[in-house]
Amino acid sequence: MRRYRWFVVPALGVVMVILGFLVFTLKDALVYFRTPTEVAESAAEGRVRLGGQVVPGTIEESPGGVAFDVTDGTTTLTVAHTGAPQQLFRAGIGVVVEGTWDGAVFHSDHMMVKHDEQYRTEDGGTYHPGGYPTGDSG
Amino acid sequence: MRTGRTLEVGAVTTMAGALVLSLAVGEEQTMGNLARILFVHVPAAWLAYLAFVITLLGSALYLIRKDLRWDRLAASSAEVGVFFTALTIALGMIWGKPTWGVWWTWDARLVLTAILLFVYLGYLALRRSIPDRVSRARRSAWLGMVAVVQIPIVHFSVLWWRTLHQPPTVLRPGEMQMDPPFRAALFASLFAFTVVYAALLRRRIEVAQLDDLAEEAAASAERRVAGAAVTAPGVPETAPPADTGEARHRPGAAPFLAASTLVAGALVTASQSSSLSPWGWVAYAFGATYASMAVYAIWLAARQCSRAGVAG
Repeated sequence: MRRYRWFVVPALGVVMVILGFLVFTLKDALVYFRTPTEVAESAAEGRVRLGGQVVPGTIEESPGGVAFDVTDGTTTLTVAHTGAPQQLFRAGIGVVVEGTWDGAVFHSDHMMVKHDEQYRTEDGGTYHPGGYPTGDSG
Repeated sequence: MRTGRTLEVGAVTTMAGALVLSLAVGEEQTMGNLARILFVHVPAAWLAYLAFVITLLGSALYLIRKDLRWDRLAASSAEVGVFFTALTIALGMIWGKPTWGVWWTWDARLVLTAILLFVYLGYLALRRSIPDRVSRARRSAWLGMVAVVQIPIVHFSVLWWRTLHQPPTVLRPGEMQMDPPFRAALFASLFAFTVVYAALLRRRIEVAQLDDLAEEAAASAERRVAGAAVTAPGVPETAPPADTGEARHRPGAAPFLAASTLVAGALVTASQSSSLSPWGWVAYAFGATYASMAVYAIWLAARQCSRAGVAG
């Protein structure tokens, strides 16, 4: 049964290497969505996920969908979404949309609403979607 | 037994109190009534963390003291932890569908939580695969200590990577971004779930003790038969024990059962309708929580009764 120890040390080593790989190398691949700044800087490519906050006053119903602006505080992109918006979709909320960027408009056909870590009563504190959605905030 | 009864009565009482608070608080600004689902999802996740940390402690103490009682603690806590991990995922799905718009997505937090579930299912499977009690205890103790590194990874995944899942509200640096009424309901639920965990863990440890007793009885019966065979070959003086196979350690079918019931329920609802009212979703989440806890508790009690019969 002593030989079992010879297995434990390399096994631990392998686990550490995998963890290190996950944390450092795959950091970018594990990012669930891109910010408007990142999408605007990138060349038009395949399907991407774009995440940001819906700019109040920009929501317009369009035939078969809805159009609105999404911002990360630095860059604002216009999204043309096909399909019904999510139940909780509204001005100021975080959204993640999936689709393609043609250099001017982001064409989305799949929308998810992102809730942040703040929970406010209706008559309680003000809802601050502050710093959204840099992703590397604490 | 008295402590166990007190714990169980306490679990039911505190759960009832937490339920009243969870339903009494007002609506959340963005999510409305759907926010109530977090009063069961977050405590379930907290207990998954706690249970696997207790498994770590039991594993370490076993390796230091070589006393099987610590192995029973580690194994029991792992099974209860698997139950709470499965419950966390199921409740997260029930919350995610009306809030995000999807039951599941390949977000870092979700994937890592699923891996956490599978690794601890692997821990339970490893225990089933080793017949000898001592080597089973030693090997699973090593796994129980290594697997716990996942807890910080799961918890901080939402800060390390950009995810759809929101960052932590409670276990985080800085001020809690939650209004006082919600805090009260959340902390009451966290407390109540912890009492439920303690009650389930206690039950599960009693089952493990009975399992060990039955295993010991079967092993000594086997030795007697073997000894008899040496002195008087060919003369079967004592009948071999009928339940040798039965006495094998059997860790939980319950977590599997609970998890698959919940996932099946989620899928059925998905195919039926994705337009429940917010209160419908809340009822779904709370119903799934209480139903699965009751099923697990009853199943543990039943196993305890049947084991007590076997062990005499």
